[in-house]
Amino acid sequence: MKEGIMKRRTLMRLLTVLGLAFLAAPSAWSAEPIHIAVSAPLTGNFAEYGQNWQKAINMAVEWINAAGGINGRPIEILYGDSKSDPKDSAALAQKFTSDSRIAAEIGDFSSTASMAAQPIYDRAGMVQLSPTTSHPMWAPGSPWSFGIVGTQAGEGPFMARYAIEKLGKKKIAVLHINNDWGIASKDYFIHAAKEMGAQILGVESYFETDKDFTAVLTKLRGLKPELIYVPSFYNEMALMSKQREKLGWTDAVVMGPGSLYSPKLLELGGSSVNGLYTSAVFFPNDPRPEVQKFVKGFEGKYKATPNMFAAVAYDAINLMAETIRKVGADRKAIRDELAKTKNFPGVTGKINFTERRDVIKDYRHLVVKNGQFTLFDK
Amino acid sequence: MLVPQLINGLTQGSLYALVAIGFVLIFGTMNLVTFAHGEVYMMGAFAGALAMTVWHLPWFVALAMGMAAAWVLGFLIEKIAFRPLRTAGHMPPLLITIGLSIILKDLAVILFGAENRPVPSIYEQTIRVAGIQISVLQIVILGVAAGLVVLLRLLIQGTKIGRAMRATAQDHEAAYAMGVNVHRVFSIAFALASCLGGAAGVMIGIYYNAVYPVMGAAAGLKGFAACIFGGLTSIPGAILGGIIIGVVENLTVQFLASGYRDVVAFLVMVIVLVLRPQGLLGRKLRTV
Amino acid sequence: MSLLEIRSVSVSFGGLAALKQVSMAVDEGEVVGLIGPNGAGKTTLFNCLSGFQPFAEGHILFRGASIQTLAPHRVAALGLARTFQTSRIFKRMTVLDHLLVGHHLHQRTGLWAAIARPAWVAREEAEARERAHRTLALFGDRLSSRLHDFAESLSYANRRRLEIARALAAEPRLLLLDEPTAGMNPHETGGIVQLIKMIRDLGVTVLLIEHDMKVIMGASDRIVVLDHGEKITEGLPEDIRRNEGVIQAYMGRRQIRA
Repeated sequence: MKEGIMKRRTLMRLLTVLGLAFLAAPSAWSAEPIHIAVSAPLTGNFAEYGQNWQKAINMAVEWINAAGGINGRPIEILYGDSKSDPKDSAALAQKFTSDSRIAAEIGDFSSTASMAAQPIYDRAGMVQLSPTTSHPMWAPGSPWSFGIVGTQAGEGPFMARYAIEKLGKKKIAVLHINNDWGIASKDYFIHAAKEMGAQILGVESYFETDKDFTAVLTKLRGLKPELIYVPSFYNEMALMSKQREKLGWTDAVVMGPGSLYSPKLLELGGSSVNGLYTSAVFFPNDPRPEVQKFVKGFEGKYKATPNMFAAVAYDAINLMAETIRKVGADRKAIRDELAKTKNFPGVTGKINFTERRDVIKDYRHLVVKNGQFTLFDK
Repeated sequence: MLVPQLINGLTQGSLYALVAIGFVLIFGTMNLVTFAHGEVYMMGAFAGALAMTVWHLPWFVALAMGMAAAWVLGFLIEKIAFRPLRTAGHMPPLLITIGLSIILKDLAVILFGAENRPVPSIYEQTIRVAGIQISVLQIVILGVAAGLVVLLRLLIQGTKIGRAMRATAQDHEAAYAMGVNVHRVFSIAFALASCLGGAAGVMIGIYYNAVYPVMGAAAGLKGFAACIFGGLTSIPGAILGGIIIGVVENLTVQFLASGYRDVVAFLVMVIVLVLRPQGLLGRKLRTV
Repeated sequence: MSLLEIRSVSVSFGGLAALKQVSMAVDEGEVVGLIGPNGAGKTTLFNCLSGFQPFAEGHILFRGASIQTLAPHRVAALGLARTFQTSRIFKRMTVLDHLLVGHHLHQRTGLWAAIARPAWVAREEAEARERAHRTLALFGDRLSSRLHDFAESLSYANRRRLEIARALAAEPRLLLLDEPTAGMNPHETGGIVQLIKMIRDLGVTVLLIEHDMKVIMGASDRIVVLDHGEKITEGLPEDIRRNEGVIQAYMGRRQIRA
């Protein structure tokens, strides 16, 4: 690890941990900054994802401010560490909504944390734009809630078609993370898969703190499925795959939603994730100029390829900045303008909000081959 | 699937047992509880993981390094948190260890990052015994745990330092009067406990192929539970407690559902403690 | 020079004086009895001697060295062993283990040697066991027949004997016995006098706290009397027996209490 990066990251974490991130950095701007709050898991079990957001958002804000800010006013991000815990995300919502400087909020990470904070943003009348919340009941829950990652209502059937129609696997077992996102994700998949004539042999869950999957894998193995569908995150999937390999279980196909799509999956999972099927809304190799600008910039700054979590956070802050550029930093005006978004060119695809204020995404079929994500074309 | 689940449970339980023995050694000699034990385990795991990923050392060298790192850390914790407060009662050292556990966790985040750090696989092959597929790694882990327990028993039963530890545990003033340097015994017991925790951490890292800063919380809790379950001051009790918790967890996944694993494991523990408040192999009350 | 010299030692607990300017000496090879009514400060003095009780005033010289700042294990290393007023055995250790713990100071096996176990460690262990058997021989077959029994399974009198055996295993120059006959029946008490004489014949100096006058008079070469933390007199057993002050302090109070 590079010394300089290490130091800056270290300092950043210390600041967030101590809650000192709220101290404004000295700046040369004379105009009053525009404050945007971010509620994200900067520490705790989901820290890694929150830190991905932070990198993408910091980079985007740097670029916007370097180009003159929003109509001459710089953006300033106020981070709050929610640990993606519903208690903390709700407390942060109280804090953010009562701070009159703050124009809008981006966050939270998990559906559970976003939904816990939702009524508070709703009452106060502040936009809650979540980069990752994909629970189908979330965005419709308040006129102030917006989701840009797409919902499981769209992704579930897409994955079911992938498994059954493209791969021809009809005996399916499901292993999902036991939170709102995982439960919804598995429900949409199972519902669609059954309609397509698949047989669901068993459904098991795990908690976000679990690292030992040998027992549950041993159990699922006994059901002899052709395919296991795993709505989970890449960290657990990598562990799970390694443990599955060690147990000698190699005769079932593994598939999971786009949350698995990350270079980290390949790094952590090694050979054990070869043959894993997934989907993606964000592709670093996408030739579109906005994607290449983001990927090159991120790689240059952080020496790592951005993943989906960084990409959606990048889209969220840019969309927010663009909206404020049009209507100013008024909470109500931001909401109304955001709802009218048309073909915003995000790095995760075009953003058009539905009436429910979520987005229908355009997914790609992916498979891991020789340690790389490749397009599945058959 | 019953036999594979039993083996899964035994493997996991044997590592819980190593953590639990640490609590027994500390509680038995010093009559104190540490809440930083899980973090010592985590630091040992990181030391082992670094040895394997950065220096590409074989796993048994990594195990030795993880144990050595945990030993040193345990020794320092005893010096910092326990020795100056020897006469301060139970509460102050306890609170200090809670603080130390938070510091160690954050230190790990700063030093190694919040994300999972991969640990290379070893012994990926499986063997078939009577038609049942067994992972070679699980056999290795069980062997390591059993080996450490045997070494510990030899140390405690048949050597001068072991006798000094047992004597200190039972009446530290009498031991003091017999020329036993009880402060040194406390240090060694704490370091030895940490060392076993570090060994468990390294083996868990290898088993799950990952180490991460918050890994100590669950291990500390399960190890402490196994220690209480076994009777607080009994090493065989801690081993039995660890293995029962491991096996019950895995059988729960098989016959109920994955979500119930901790619930059932702790439920079994509560039931046993209601029926036998002194724990499985514990003695009724400490007399010292 | 005396083996043990106590010079004007004072101890107080929260303003209450437990020992006031106590001075006395014990010579090599003596058995010295320490008597006095309850609360006279006898056990406090033992605690000062063995490093358990810090004292602000005075000096204690053992074998010419000041032990004022030494922790108990360091005092023990100088050759001072003690027993306790109430039974302080290691309940879940065997009789043999007690002797081996007593012999602790004479073994040099450190932690690393214990793990590596070179040949000399095994020799040292064997020698320690050999010495343990010799020490136990002093007690006839009362303890040696129960070598591998846990201490908690022993009779009360045997537990007290075991404590003395454990202290003897340290091969001390000076042995402090704190009421060795407490709780024993008259027959067992008689054996203790014999035992103390045997211990002295081994070349171990003994300082003895005892309430049983038969034991004190039978075993002691010299007697020191404490009352209210002060030394009121010392002398030969027959002098003490006739000393008015002692009778006043000692017997007088007992009558009042009875």
